[in-house]
Amino acid sequence: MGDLDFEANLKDGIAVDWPVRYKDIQPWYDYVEKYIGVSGQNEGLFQLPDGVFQPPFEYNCLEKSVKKRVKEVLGRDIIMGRTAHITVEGGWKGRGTCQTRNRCMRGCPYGAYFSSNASTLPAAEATGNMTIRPFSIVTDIILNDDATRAKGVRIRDAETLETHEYFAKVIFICASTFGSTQILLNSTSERFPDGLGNDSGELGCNVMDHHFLVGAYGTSDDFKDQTTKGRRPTGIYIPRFRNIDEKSKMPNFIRGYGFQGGAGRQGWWRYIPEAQFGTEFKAALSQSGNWTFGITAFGESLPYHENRIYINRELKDKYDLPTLTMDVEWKTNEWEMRKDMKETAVEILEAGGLRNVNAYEDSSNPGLAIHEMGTARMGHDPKTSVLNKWNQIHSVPNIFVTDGSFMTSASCVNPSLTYMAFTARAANHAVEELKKGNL
Amino acid sequence: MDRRETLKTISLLLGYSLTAGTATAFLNGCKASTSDDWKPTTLTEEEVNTLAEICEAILPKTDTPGAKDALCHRYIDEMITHFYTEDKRTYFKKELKKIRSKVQRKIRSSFFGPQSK
Ligand code: SF4
Repeated sequence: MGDLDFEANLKDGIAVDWPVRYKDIQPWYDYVEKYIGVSGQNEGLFQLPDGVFQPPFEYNCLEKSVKKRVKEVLGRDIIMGRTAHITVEGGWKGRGTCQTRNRCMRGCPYGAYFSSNASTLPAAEATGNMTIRPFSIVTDIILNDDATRAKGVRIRDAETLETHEYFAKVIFICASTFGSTQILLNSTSERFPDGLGNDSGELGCNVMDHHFLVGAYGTSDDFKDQTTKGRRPTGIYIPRFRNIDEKSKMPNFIRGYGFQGGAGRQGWWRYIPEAQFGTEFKAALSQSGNWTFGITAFGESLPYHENRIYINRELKDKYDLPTLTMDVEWKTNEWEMRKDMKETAVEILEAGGLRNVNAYEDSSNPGLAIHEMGTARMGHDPKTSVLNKWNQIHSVPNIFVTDGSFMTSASCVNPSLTYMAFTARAANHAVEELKKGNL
Repeated sequence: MDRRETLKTISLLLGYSLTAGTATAFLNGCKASTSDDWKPTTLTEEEVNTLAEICEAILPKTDTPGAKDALCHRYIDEMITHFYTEDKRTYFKKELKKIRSKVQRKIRSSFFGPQSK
């Protein structure tokens, strides 16, 4: 994320302003990128800042040609996807390089794709200070007598259902956006009847997610004699081009979207709809099909106070804990943006020289992009936000909340790197404050 | 959009990525048993044999192995046992039965046996 995102709420006069700017976070993006290994290319784009990257993956022949044409015809950039994959050996402490198999979702056996299993947990273990207590469901936070500091956490053991308490000077809650918010909403007391740190009434509100599943696809008759080698675990990216400056201002919506996509030759799956069978069919399955190119938009959604999650004390889960109810809808800005996403998807692919270009749109209900954010947002003012600019709960500063719940606005880019940068920055701040005796 | 068009869109877009259910099956190491004394879990012997014939018709043995050799029917039994909901399993069995009786009516024979007079 860049200042286009960090200044967005202030400029649009909606929700609350981010209490940070890109210059505050930029060193921490670099720090995380160097630590986890991110492949990508610096492009010098204002709307999508550069970083410290491992060499990018390569475009295939069709992507190269579409990229060139789209730049010529529309002036829009197609860039290589930036992903947490190590592409060059050396200094990765037991992690190897990517073998381009695109099996990352199964867990990378080489540790080439970043995961806590491959990277941060071994590092934590090496300090000798790590204790993991599995099967622990945090039920609530224990506060001191005047409710100004957290003392510890109470957990329910998922196997024995016993309750245990653990104590610490500083507590980091990083249990996923809704998970963290649920813990805070569950932690009620006389001082915080509506959930811990909820003086503002914003805890659980302002749910955001990306809206997606709208885009286009087309085919190409070129490059019949070429195919791809390996399975690149990323695709191309088209950075946001709407509402990034005066020229690109849209009349019907604010903010914007990017496209993820890629080209490849079709494999056996092209026959799924054909309902064929027999010897010829079997022979055809082993041949490469047409080149196709598809793109899918990921759009920013706005923080609306009434889009919220809340505790349902009537309906309990199997651990006898209250469940969470989600009440979220897209509104005009998202629906207007989706119309534009669909149109520009077609426009881009046609400019890229593709044939048989078709738009598609599926319903993209909030939550489907699994980028939920914003339910404990950060801000300057304790009256309108839950966290301060260091991810500390305004009224209980030894609690840090460092997952997507802190997001004040959603941006349209994948959020994990931003969570990690803020987490590293918050951890560093916690250490400094501990040293100073402030925590 | 009709079913064919929908499937076409999906196959165009997804490439080799998988539907969530199938992906879960892979992630959990769902695979066909190669043991000689294998028995189906959800399907009956008869149903699984029907299924094997259907699979073989789709991907017959040529100079390369066919669906039966690949034990596709065992995989499907495993899949629907562990990754289908009860109503989907019932539906699957119902449709399988329909295919059987349709074929039998058409060729006036038992599904596997020689054509009757
Ligand atoms: S493709 Fe994914 S799983 Fe395979 S080596 Fe690369 S990062 Fe690891």
